[in-house]
Amino acid sequence: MTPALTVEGLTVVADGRRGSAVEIVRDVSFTVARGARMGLVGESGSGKTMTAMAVMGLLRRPLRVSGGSVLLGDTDLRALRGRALARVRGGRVAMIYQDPMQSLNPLHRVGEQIAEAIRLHAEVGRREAMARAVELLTDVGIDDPAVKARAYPHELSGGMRQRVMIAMALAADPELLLCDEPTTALDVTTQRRIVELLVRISRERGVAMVMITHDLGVAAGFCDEIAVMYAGRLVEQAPVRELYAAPRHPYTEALLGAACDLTLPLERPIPTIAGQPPLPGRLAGGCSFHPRCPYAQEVCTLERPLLAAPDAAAPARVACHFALTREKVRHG
Amino acid sequence: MSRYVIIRVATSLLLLVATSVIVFAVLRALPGDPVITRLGSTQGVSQETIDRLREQLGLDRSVVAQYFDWVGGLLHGDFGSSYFSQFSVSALVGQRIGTTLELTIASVALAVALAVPTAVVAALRPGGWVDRLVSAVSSLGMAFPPFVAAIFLLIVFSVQLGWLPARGWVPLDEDVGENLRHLVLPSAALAAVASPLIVRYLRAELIEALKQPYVRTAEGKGATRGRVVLHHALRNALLPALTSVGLIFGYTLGGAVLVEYVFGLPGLGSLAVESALRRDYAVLQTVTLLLCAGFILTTLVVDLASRWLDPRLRTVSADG
Repeated sequence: MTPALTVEGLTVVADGRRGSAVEIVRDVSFTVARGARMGLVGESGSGKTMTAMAVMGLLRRPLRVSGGSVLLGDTDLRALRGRALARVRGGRVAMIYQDPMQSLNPLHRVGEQIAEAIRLHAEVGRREAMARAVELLTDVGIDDPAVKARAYPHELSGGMRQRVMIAMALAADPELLLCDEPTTALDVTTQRRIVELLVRISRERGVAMVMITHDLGVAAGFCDEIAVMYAGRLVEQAPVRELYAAPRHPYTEALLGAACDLTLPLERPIPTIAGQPPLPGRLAGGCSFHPRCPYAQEVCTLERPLLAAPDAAAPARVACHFALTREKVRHG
Repeated sequence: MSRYVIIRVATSLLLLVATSVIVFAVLRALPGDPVITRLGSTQGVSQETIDRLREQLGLDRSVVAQYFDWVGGLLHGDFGSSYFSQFSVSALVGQRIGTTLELTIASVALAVALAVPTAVVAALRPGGWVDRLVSAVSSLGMAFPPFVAAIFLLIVFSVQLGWLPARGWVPLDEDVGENLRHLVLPSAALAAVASPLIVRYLRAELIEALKQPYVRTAEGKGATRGRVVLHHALRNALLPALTSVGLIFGYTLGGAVLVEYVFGLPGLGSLAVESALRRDYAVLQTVTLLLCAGFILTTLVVDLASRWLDPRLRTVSADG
């Protein structure tokens, strides 16, 4: 069976003045199986959101896809324009955005906004679309959905707005849902409920999901597989258990180290990753992570490691010169 | 009624009172004397006659007393009488106000009808050649005083091409077609000046709206470009732009004064100009105040309407 999403060599650039272009996402490849949940993690600015926007075809100038392919099932999304693209967007692939406060139209009732998404992809009347919108609001766990459907976005809490966004994304029964930090703007208890809701939806409906997050806790609870991005590149991809148990890339290891472990005494300082994430266009040569990497050797400054399976048996892929031998380097 | 509405209405009333004082004071400060203008000359007229006329018109009283005579009359629905024709001001205004209202409404409607599509096309590609052309043309349009635009249109379309009548007026209830023919040039002159202001404001609002995340959401759910722009972005941009339409209504009322005069339309504007030339304060002050009141009322209505149209503000005002 073809995967729900196949991204191959995706490159996104920001066009600058006088024809200069800075690469924001560089040669990213991954697949998401049907019904699978993949996490895309990394620090801010690592290119996660841009990857998702590129899949949706929602990049705006000066950003644009400069290379690679995006296949939704068998459909080449990069080849689609105008109405054909509009049919796929929201129809077969939908997205939930980071900021539910700003992502709903303030002048339209939320029920109308969901009904609009339904009517854009199905030949149904206003009343029927509205009835379905209310059903969807019920599905995403909103109490009193008929009343809430008549509310304007500002009348709802952040968590409720995100539920509305999810209901809207589900309006046309998509095969793939891209969730861009769907819980970042919400408080902790609401975050948990939204993640639970997304897991339930993915199980019940068999929707494949890509969860973009910088929160490894969220990713661990949600995903089957995790892809780690650094400076616009994928540096490691592995099944979730494997990645948490034995991170192969030093950056993944550092990310996991930087996650706050509440079982440890509080006096212990929260570990951080030394240095700053690099700015696009000012990347170090060789491996982009080498200036911050505790294991870096001369080869890391010269040669960029390719994303490859560390051994034939593992389903994981990693881009590090010392993916297997790091232990020795550290002690030797 | 919410606090906002009460405060807004109260401010408008205060503004109206202040306007009446200014209008009155400015007119009295103008050189000239209505009595002398009316008599044509002082030669051969006895001082007695002049004084009697003064007394008749109430001009012998102090300026403050005259002000209160005027305002007191207005409050009782008595607009006073012309110094010249002895017609009541309300009769004169009644004959003329329809024309001015029709002209103003037609001009604003035409300005909006021209401005909205232009602003949309310009905002779709900011910095593109269409946008730059629109900016250039609208700067030019704004630089023209309405009566210059009026004279220009008159020369081209009625003198040179002879398509439309140069002067005069046929009331709407007499002949609709002729009425519209006489309406075209004056309202085009006013719209030519008013629409650039709307274009500039709406264009900026629309460019801002198109950057908002909800526009991306609309695109992401599969709305076509046209629907995204018209249904999502434009509606959000029109709301703040509505305020500018209120202001434009005011400018247009002001512009109508000279444009009516140029085209010989029997409206409040030409009445004001005639009265000013004759120092007929009784008519002029009331007409000026009426035009100002029209402006104040329109901005009030537009303000309250845009508040009511914005669900975010509606709830706030319902609570407050």
